[in-house]
Amino acid sequence: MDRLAASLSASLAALDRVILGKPVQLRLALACLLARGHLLLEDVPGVGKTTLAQALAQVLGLATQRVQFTSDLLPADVLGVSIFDRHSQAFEFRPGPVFTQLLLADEVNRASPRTQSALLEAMEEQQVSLDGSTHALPAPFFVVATQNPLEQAGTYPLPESQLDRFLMRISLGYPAPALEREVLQDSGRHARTGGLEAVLDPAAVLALQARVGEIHVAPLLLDYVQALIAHTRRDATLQLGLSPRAGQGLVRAARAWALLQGHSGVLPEDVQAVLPAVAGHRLVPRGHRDRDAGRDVVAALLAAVPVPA
Amino acid sequence: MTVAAPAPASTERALRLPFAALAFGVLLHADRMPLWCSLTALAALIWRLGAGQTRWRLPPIWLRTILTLALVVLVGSLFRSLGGLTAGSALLITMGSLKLLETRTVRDGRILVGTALFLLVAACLDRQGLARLPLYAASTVLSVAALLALGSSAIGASPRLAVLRAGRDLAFALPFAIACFLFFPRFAGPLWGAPEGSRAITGLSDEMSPGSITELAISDEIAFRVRFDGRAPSPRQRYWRGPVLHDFDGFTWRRGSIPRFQAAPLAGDGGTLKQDITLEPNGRGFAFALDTPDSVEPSAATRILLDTDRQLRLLRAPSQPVRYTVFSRLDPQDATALRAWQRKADLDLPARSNPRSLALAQALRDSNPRDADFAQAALGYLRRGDFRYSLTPPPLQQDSVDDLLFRTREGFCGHFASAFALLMRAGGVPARVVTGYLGGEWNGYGGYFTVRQAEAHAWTEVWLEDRGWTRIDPTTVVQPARLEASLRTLLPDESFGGSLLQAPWTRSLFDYWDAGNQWWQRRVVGFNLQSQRGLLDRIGLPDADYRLLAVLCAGVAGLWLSLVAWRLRRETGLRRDPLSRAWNELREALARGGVASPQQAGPLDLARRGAQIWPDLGPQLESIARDYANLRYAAEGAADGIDAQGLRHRIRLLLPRLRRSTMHSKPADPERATRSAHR
Repeated sequence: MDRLAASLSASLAALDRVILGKPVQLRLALACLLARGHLLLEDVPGVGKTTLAQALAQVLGLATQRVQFTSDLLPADVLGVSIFDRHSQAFEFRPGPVFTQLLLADEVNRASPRTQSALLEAMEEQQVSLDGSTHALPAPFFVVATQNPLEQAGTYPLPESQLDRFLMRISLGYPAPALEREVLQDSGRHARTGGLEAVLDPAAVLALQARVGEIHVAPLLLDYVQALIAHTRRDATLQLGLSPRAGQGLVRAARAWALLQGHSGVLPEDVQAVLPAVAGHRLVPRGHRDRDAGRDVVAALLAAVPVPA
Repeated sequence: MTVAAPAPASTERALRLPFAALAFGVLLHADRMPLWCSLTALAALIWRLGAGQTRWRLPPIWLRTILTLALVVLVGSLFRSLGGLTAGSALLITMGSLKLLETRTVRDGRILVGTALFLLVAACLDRQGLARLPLYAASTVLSVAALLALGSSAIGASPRLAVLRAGRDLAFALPFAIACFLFFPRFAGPLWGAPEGSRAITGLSDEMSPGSITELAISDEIAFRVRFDGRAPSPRQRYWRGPVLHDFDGFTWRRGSIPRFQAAPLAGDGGTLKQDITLEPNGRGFAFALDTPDSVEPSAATRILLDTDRQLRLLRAPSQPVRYTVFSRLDPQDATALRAWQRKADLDLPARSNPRSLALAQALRDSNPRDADFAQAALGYLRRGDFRYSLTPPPLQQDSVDDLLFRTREGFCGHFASAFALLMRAGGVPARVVTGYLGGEWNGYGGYFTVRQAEAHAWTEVWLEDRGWTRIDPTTVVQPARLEASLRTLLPDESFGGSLLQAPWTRSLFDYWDAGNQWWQRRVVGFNLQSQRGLLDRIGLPDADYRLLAVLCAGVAGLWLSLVAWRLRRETGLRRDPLSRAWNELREALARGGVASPQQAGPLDLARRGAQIWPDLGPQLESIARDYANLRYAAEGAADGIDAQGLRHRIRLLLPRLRRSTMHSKPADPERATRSAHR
C-alpha cells in the first residue's frame, strides 16, 4: 500500500526532472491516466508534447506506440487488418499500433473524420471490432492525442462529441525563461528521456487506477460538483453546459487528483484543480470562439459558485 | 510602440453594461441638453469602445486634463453657472464622458454607474410624467445590471443574464420601495426644489392683440384638468377664467398695473361649485377656474391668490403640474360696489384712437340711457352688422376696432371682445376683457374635464349697477355655435391637417392615456404629507407621528428583507448546521482581512491564503482546515478522532484574534494573497 504511494511520488519526481517547470500539467496528465481517461494535448509544435508522452510511458513502464496522423491515414492503419493466411487457410488479425498501452496520436486533427472516429471508438470501448470479431485492447490503455490549435488548413477539427471522449485537454505552453536556458543547453530529447527508468509497471498502474476508485467522495462534495454543473447549464453565455458524463469524468479526475495529493477524500480544491482541464474543451461559449474563451469561462464558473460549508 | 488594451478581456466584457448605463443616462437628458453635450458623450463612448476593440489609444493624462478644464469652462460659460439642474446635468454628462476615457478597472466602472444613477435622479427631478416612467425604469434596471456585471465575472460575460438578474433583484426590492413610498415619514414641503429653467410654453399671456389667440387654437396641449365635486356645469357655462385685461392702447389689451387685492366674496343664490384643478405648467403662474371664482381652498402645497378682478394667480410659476381647489359661482353677484380707481381703470380709453367706434358708441348710448340696454344695443349692432367669425381674418391697422367694425368685419373671439369692451367704455360703462377657455372635454375614464389650449377664448365683462360685473360674450352673437363646440370644429379641416385626435378610437385611446397620466400625477407624483395622512386614516392609524412611521417602515423592511433572505437561502440550498455557520464566519473574517473570494475556496486552500496574511495564526488555521476537511470530505474512518463541537469551538476562539489583527495591522497585501491563490 505505502509502497505504491511511494513509487507514485517517485515517478512524479522522475517526470519533473524531464519536463521542466510544468508540474501542474504533469500531474494532470498522470491524474488523467489514473482516472482511466484519455488526454488531449493542445499546443503549438515544439513545446514538449511528445516528450511528455514518452516520458510518461517510460516512467510508468508502459508499452508505447506512436502514430503520426495524416489526411490519408486509414482506419486500418490505426486499428490493424485481417489478412488471409495461406498456410492456416484462415484470416489472421494483424493488430495495428492501437494495440499498445500508451498510444501517442500525433496531430489527431489531420486525419479524416473516418479515421478519427475509428480511434475514438476504440478509446471509448477499450476494444477493436473488426470483421465480426472483437479484439480487446491491452490494459491499461491510454491515448495521448495532440493537436496544433493554430494550423487550420487541411485539418478536421474534432467535433464537440468527439472532444467529449477526452477526459482532459491541457496545454503545456512555453517554459519559463530560466528553464528554457536549461532546455537549450541539453542536446536533445533523448538526453533526458534516455536516462529514465521505469518506476512503475502495468500491474502497479492498474492497482493505482483501482485505488482512485476508492477515494471517498462526500455528499458535500457532490453538492459542490452539482452546483458547478448546474451553473454551466444556467449560464446564458454558454451554448452548452456540462453533460452528466462530463460530471462523472470530473469526479473521476478529481479523485485521481486527490490520490496524487495524498487526500483521503476528494476536496473542493481537487475539483477546482482539474476543472479547467476537464471542462475547458467541453464548454462552448456563445458568440465568439477564441481559444481562451473556455479558460475564461471556467475561471468565471469557479468565481461564481461558492463552496458549500 | 505597442499599446495594451485598456483592460483585461473579462473586465472589458463586464464594462459593457456600465457603458450602456451611462449612455442611457445621457439619453434621458438628450432633448434638454445642447447637442454638443450628447455629442461629447457619444464621441467619448466611441473612443473608449474603439480602445477596447481595435486597440486605439486612450488619451494621455495631459490631454484628459485639458479636456476636463475646457469642458468645465464651456459648461460654466454657456449656462452661466455650474450648479442648478440643467448646468449640473450638463457638467455630469461631460465629466462622465471624460471618465469613460480613463476607465480601465472595475472601480472605474462603478463610478460610471454612479454617474448614470445621478443622471437618472436629475432626470427624475426634471420631469415626472407617466410617459417617462418606462425610461426611468429601464435606466434603473440597466444600472443595477451594470453593478451586477461588475461584481461577478460570470454575470459580466453575459449582458442578458445581468439584465435578467437585475430585473429579478429589483422585483424583490419593489414591495419594499412601495412600502417606503407610502409610509416613510414625509415633510410638509418638498425636500428640495429644482431650480427653474426658462422654457417656451404655450398658453395665454397677459396681453391680447389681434391674432394672439389664433396661435393657441392649433395647439393640442392640455391647459388644465378639472374634477367637479358634485354637479358639473353645462357646456354653455364652461367659461374658464384666466387673465383679466384692463389696459387698452387701441391695438393691444394688457393686464395693466392696477392694484391687486384679495377678492371679496361673491353673493348670489346659485350656490358654489367645488372644483379640483390640476394645472399644467404654463410658465407664467396663471391659474384658471370656472367663471366666476369665489374663493380658494387654502393649501400648504400650493400658494394661490384670487385678485380683486378675480384672476387666479400662483405666487411662482411652477415647472410641474400643480393642484388646487376653487369654489365658483355660476350666477354671481358682486356684494361690494365698484371702487373709484377700478371704475377709472376700466373706463380708460386711449386718446385719439378708433374715432369711428367712439362715435358709434356715442350714438348707441344716446338712444339707450340704461347701461343694460346700451350693452344689448351694442350686441345687437354686432349681430345685425354682417360680421363673420373666422380664425384667419385679414390683418388689422393700428386703430384695430375701427378697422374691424367698419372695414374687415371678420374676426374671432379676441377681436369681438376687444371691440365690445371699447364700445362699452366709450359709452361710459366700465368694461374689461377676460381671457381664458371655453369648453372642455369630458374624460369618461378619469371622470374629469380636459381643457386644451385650443379652447382658448376671450370675452367681456361689464359693470351693471344692479348686479355687478356681468359676463357678456360678444363672440356668441356673431357665431352662436362657439358656445357648444370647440374652436376646431368651427374651422375647415385643413387648418389642422387632419389631426389624429379627430378619429373616435384615437380619441378614446388618448382619453385613456390621459386618465392614466392624471392618476399618476395626482396619486403618485402628488403623494404628499396630506395624502399620507389620508392613507393612514383609512388604514386605522390616524395619529401616527413620524416615530411610529419610522418603526412601521423599519418593520416592513425587516419583514421583507428576511423573506428575501429566506428565499435566497433556499435557493442556494446551503445547509446551516452549527459547524457550517462557524465555517462561514471564519470565511467572512478572512474576507474582511483581505483574503479574496473565500466563499469559492476549498478549506486547505483557504487556510494557506489566510496564513499569508496572518503568518502567526497560520499553523492554527491549517490545523482547523485539515480537521474541517476530514470531517466534511474524508471517508468515515479518517474523521474518527475529530470532534465537530471542539472544532467549532476552536474556530470561534480564532475569530476574535483574526479581527484584532485586522484592526491593528493593515493586512500585508491583499493583492498578493489573491495572486498567490490563483497561482
